[in-house]
Amino acid sequence: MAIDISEAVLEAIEQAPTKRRVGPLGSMAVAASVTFALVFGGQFLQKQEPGLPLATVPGVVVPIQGAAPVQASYGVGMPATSFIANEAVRVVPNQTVDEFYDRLAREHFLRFGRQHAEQSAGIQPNASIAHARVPGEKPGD
Amino acid sequence: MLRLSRCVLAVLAVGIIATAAGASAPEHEGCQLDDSETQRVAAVLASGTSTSYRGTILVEYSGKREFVAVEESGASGQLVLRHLNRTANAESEIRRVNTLPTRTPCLLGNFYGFSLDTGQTVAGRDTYRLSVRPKDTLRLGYVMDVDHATDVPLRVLTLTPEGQMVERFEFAEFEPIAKTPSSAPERESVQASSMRFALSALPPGFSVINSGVTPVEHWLLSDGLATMSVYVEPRSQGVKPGEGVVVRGATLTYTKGTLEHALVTVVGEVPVTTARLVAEAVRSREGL
Repeated sequence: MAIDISEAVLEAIEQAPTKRRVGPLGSMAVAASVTFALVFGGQFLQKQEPGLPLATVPGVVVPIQGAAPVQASYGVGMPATSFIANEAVRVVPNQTVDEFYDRLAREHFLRFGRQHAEQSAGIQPNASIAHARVPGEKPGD
Repeated sequence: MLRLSRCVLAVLAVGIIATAAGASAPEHEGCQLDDSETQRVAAVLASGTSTSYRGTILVEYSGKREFVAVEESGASGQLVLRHLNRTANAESEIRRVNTLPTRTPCLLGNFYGFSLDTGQTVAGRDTYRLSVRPKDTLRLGYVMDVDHATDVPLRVLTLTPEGQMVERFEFAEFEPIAKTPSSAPERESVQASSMRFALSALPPGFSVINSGVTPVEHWLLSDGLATMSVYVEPRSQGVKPGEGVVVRGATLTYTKGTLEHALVTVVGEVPVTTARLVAEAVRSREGL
C-alpha cells in the first residue's frame, strides 16, 4: 500500500504563512500528534496484512516458568539477580525425537558432567566453580 | 524445513571453521591487552593452582540457589566440598582437579576483550573487577570481582554473548590458607590414532587439550577460558538421528545422533552454536 503525500505536503507548506510561532507547548503537541500517528498508524497498517510471518525460524524455544531474561552488563554496574530461561531449549521441531534427545541430554549431563568438571577445573580461574556446577555423588543431586 | 536448516547450519559451520585458521591469530602479531590487563589476567589464571583457601560459595542459576562449602581448594590437586542444601549433614565430596596447560593472556585477547575496574567488596575483601567480553558468539562472557590479595575470583557472573546472565557464584566466606600447592593429578591422554572417532575441525580459538576413552571416547576442548568435553559413542540402529539440549546455569549439554551412527554429547560452558559446530565435526576414522 503506497500513498504519495509529497504533493499535499508541498501544497500545505506553500499555503502556510512564512512565519508562524507555535511556542514550546505547540511544538510538544505537534510531536505528540506525530508519535500517536506513527504508533497507532503502524499498528493499523500491520493489521491490514494478516498472515505475514515476522520471521522464519526453524524449531521452537520452550520457555520455562519462573525464569525471566535480564540484560546484564560487562561494564561497572553489577546486574540484578535474575536469570534467563535455560532449563530446556528445544532446537528441532520433531517432537518425539526431541523429547528423546532432551531426555538423553539430561541423562548425559548426569553421566558426564562430573568428569567434565574434573577435566576443566584446572583451566578455570577458580576450580571450585567448575565442581560446584555439577551434581554431587548422591542420586538425585 | 529441517533439511533446509541443516543445510544452513552446515554452510555456517564450514564458513566459521574455514575462518578458524585466520582467527586463531598467532600471538606474535601483537598483544591486544595493555600491560596492566596482561598482568591481572595472568594472575587470575594462575590463582587456581597457586592459592589454597576455604570458604562458602553461593551458587545461583535459573532461580535456584544453594551454598557450597569448600573445605580445601583445588591448588592441592583435589577439591573437598559439601553441597549444603542438598541433604542434611551432607558428607564431604573429594573431587579431582587435573593439571592442564593454560593460555597466555595475549592469546586470549584474540577472542575476548578485557577491562579492569574497581570491584565491590565480597566476603569482606577488597576486589578489582575483571570484565571478559567475548568477541564472537561462540563463547560466554564473565564479570569477575577478584580478590586483590590472592587474585582468586570471589564473585563470578557468567553471561551470554548478548549480555544475559546465566549463572552467579559469590563467596560468602573466603579464607586463604597457607598450604604448599602439590602436584595435581596427571591428565589422562590417549593417542588419537587409537580412537575410533575424530574431529575434522574446531571452532576458532579452541584446541584439543586432553583426550581419553573412559567411559567413552572423549576430548576436552578449550580456548583458554571456555571449556567443553565432547563424548562420542556409537548410536544404535534403532535410534533416529536428532538433537537435544539441556542447560543448567552456564553448563550446556547437547546430544546429537548423527547420520554417521554416532551419538555425540557436548558438555561445556559454551553457547549451543559452538556445541553444534563441534558435534557436526565428529567423523568416524574409517570415513576420513
